[in-house]
Amino acid sequence: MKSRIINTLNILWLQLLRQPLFLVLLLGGMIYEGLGLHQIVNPGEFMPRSSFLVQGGILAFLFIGIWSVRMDTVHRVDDLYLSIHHAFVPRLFAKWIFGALISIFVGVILYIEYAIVYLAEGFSLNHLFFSAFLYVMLYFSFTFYISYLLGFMLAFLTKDRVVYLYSIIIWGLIGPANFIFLGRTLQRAAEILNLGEPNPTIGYDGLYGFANDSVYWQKHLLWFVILLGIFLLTLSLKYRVFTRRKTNVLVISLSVIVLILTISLNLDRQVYSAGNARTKPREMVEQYYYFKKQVVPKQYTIRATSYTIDLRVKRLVTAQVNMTLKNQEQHSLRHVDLSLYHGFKVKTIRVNGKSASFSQKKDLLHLTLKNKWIPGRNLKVDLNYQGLSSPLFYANGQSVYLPYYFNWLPSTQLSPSFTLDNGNLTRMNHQNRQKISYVLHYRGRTPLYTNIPERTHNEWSGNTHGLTLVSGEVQSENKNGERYVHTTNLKNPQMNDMQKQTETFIKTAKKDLDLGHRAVPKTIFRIPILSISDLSSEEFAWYTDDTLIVSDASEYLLKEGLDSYVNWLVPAVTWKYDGIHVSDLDYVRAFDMTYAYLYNQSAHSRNDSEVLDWYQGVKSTGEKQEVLEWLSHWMKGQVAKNIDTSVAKKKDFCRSWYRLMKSGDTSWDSLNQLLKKEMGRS
Amino acid sequence: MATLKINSIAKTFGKKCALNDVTLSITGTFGLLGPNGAGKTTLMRLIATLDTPDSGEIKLNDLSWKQPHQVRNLLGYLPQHFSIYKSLNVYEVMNHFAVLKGISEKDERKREINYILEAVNLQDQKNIKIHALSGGMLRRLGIAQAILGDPKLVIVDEPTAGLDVQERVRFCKLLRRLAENRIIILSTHIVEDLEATCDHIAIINEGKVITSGTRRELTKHADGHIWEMDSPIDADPPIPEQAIISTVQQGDHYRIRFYHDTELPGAGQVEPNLEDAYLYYMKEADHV
Ligand SMILES: Nc1ncnc2c1ncn2[C@@H]1O[C@H](COP(=O)(O)OP(=O)(O)OP(=O)(O)O)[C@@H](O)[C@H]1O
Ligand SMILES: [Mg+2]
Repeated sequence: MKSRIINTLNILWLQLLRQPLFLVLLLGGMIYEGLGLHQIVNPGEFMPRSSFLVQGGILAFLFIGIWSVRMDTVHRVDDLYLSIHHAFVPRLFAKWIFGALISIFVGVILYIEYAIVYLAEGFSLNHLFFSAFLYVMLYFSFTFYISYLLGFMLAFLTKDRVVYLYSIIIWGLIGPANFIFLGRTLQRAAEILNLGEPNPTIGYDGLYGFANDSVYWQKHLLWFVILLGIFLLTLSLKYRVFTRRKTNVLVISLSVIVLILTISLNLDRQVYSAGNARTKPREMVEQYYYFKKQVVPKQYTIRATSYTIDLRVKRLVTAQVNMTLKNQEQHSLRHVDLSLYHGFKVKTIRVNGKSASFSQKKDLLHLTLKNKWIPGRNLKVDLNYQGLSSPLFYANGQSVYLPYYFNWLPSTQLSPSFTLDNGNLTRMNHQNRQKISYVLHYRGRTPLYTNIPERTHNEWSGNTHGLTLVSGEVQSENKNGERYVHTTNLKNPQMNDMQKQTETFIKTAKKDLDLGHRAVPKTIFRIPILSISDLSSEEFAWYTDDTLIVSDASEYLLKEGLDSYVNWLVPAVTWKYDGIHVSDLDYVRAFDMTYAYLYNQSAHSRNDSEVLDWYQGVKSTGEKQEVLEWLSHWMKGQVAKNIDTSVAKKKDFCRSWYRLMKSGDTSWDSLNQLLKKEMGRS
Repeated sequence: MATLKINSIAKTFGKKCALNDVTLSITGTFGLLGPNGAGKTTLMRLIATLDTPDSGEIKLNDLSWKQPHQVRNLLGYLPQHFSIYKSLNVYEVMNHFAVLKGISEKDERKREINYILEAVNLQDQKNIKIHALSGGMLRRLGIAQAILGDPKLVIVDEPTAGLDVQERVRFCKLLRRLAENRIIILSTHIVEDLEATCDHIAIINEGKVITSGTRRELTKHADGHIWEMDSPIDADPPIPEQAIISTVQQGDHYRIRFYHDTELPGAGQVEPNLEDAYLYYMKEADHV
């Protein structure tokens, strides 16, 4: 059997190699890929955009599959094999193996081309290239193999020439560009049938990495098992290759596998779905959910002092959290409210070791206490929960992004996870005012990057304002006790520049605005944390004493984009850090804009006054309009001669403005007064 | 000597009855003779285990065709329309079949392939691609693959179809040479082929065996019924069209060969050959 199969493989390979069309197609594919590689400068970006290459390959492999059968049926050579003992079946099996081998062969060729080009361009050989290989194996090779088998089975079951027509139809249905053929109405069907890149029309997410999720492997596997089942069944029924008992065993075991895979595919899970105009962007899910404002109950001053977390992140997030709370009110409490993202379903809660009754409504947990909670006393709360994280905060086998400001842990900050500001989704900050002690046990994608140190294997502990977990297509660099975590698709990660710019900004802003305590963060995460149409500028960066998260994965930022970087840092380091809440986000945006402009002017003498057009762009009336107009004039220097237009003076104004904000007064009215006074207008 | 016994075989395709109560006893080199659609290929496919009869049985000594796997170990088969992968060369094809037939030892395979290629006179074409072979060479390659592995039962379906006269003669000689120690069944509708190769012949028509026996036995049946006479070129032949076997121009007249049950004036009785006998049988069958 073995030598028969090997010889058949050899014969098939010789025949394929002597098909000029095969070589032409392979070469054509490589040239097409080369053009793509030339145009797409980023190794991450290339793969999701290779859909047309895959789409073309699918057709080619459907035809190769048909060819592999029709070479024997058209001239009835298969009769000859049937008349030879042990020739027909080994040849068929050899063809199944052959399909796998050439699919892998073509995938490897295309991968080598990809790797050579990007390595030659100066990208370093890191985990991304390993992920890219898996991606190629899944979406090129495995997809090609299934296409080959589909072609094979079509020709095996229908000796007619119509197989070519059928295969063209199948080609339209299973490729990553199938939405073009299936249209909007059959979008769901298009997603299910698609054997290529699941997000073909959208960019690469540097944190999530390629769509190598196990669910996609399972989907391919399901196709394979079904095709194998049909094949073996045909062999058994038509050619009586197996005994009846063997056939039964076969049918039963394959059915069980199909059943298991089908069930598994239908389980709840979180996968990266970027969405775009065609499909629903992932923030839309949350936008709908938070459309209705949530009730925030009265916030008592209770404080969490410690968390012990046992976290498992795979298909679902499973958490066992033991937390200690302290009552800092003057009076006893009969209940406790905590916020927790609604995707995490709480199963049990124990208070001081005894199971407690609770209710979970949207992002709010309400615990009823059996005994009075006396002021100053601790309360031990143990929670068990499981579920899916928000589509904007990954937590699955591929990627983890659970930052301190997201209430993935039960938080004493009662605001919901998100809110809508003029229809725009805004993340609510659940940063703690005081440091809390954390102990974390984690099982999930590794390596895990967090802002507390790892003590022993899989155990982290430390004190911080909030725990941030990151894992995915990222890597880190450590220097002088500082850590820089960035996506793997950066040619030049710019650690030094990043540290320098950040440190300079924090120190300068601290002085300029009299901010009080501000540390230079020991850990910087440079990872994309926003979705495509989710652009509010204050969400690009998040800062605590030990952690800075910057949403970026391009080298542009620290070069021409430096002004924007400052723009992102201002809100992170000032009012977001201090937990200042305003009803009109334009108010803080005016502040961000003004200070960032002044900083940029003095730090790297930029004079890009175009950004100042923002003031006029905002819809405003009354005091707001007046403030914005005056700010615009003053910043541009279009004011009377006696008014001081020096940067120092304007920065003084910003300092007073920030003091005003911190005092809790964020009305346009007071700001107008302040502006008048500082400018020296009457 | 091994005898292949075919016993009351019937095979229908839908409403079409392709074989009806076929009983034959086959040894040595055996020819199946019959017009298009007679059922030759159908019968050979049954013998080659590619299909199963609706009723009846096939046996070689004790081996029954109900165990096709064992039968296949004995078979060599050349289908009616033999064709093989155009991009491979002769040796590659032979090697593939040799491996499939279980000749796993490399040197042994080489030896046997070379021996057979020599026998079918394809040694010089060893490295030639199939698409460059002539029709005759391809047929010879077909027979070569059929006899790989030294099968005891060789079935060749119309091996001479499409060959020119010279090739045909050579091919028949080749079959003759291969006939030692095995049963060869060949089908044809060209009578001459059988003259040179077959000891035993069966004539089948419309799924039925009309007769079977040695060449001598078959020709004997037509003894006394075959005549020849001369007829001027410009006159209508005095014989009804259906009775004419052949007409040959000789100088200023035709020489007509025909059947007739009784003596005719001007006609001379001749010794029947196989073709005469075949046509005579077919004529009889038509009358029934
Ligand atoms: N698979 C089939 N399906 C339907 N009818 C068939 C099939 N195979 C053969 N027949 C019919 O059975 C009859 C016998 O065919 P067969 O091919 O055996 O004839 P043959 O003697 O080989 O003819 P030829 O000299 O033309 O090759 C024919 O009428 C043919 O149409
Ligand atoms: Mg035939």
